[in-house]
Amino acid sequence: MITISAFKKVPEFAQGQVRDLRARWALEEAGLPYKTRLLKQGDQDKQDYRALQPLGRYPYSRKTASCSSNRSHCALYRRAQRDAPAKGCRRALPRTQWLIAALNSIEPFVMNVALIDLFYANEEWAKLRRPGAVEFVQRRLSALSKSFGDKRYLDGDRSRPAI
Amino acid sequence: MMTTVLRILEHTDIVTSDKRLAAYIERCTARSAFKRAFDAQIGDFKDAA
Repeated sequence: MITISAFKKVPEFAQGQVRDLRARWALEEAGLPYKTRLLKQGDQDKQDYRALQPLGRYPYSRKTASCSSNRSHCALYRRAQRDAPAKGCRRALPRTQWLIAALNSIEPFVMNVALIDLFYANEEWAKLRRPGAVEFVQRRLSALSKSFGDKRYLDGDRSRPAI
Repeated sequence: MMTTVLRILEHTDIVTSDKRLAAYIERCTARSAFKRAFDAQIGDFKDAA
């Protein structure tokens, strides 16, 4: 049974956003059952947890072998497991590119705005920084939107999202 | 994955002012697998409260 680790408690604004949702959703789409290991604040810094996950993030472990490092790797690992044996690389490649684009080309710039809004909204520097951060992310989003064309999902007009 | 990234800005209209992206998020989050994952996360917070 796959185990997803997640925080037991987070501030209200983070509920429904915390990134273990990504692993949960991928497993739900794949029809794979999972259980959760819920961590109290501070548990992620304890030695036994760091042995599984050196950065103290939220991985999941599969039976006794853990899939660690970070959420992105978990998602890649699941993708590789699902795609590699049956379908080969032909279909997996654009999906992997989109996955990395989401995490590396879009998310950092989304987070620039989110951090300002959620944690530093009243800081003078944040008020000065926000318009530029918004403008930048809008450029990335505009490119993303154009790439959709008439497709339903990023990897084509498939019946379910792969990314 | 892309949807979970775009949802981070759901407190603004930065993403959803683009109709294509708004429709994409709508399409993805309407899926039963997303709802199950979302409800499970919220459920765990409620159980722990």
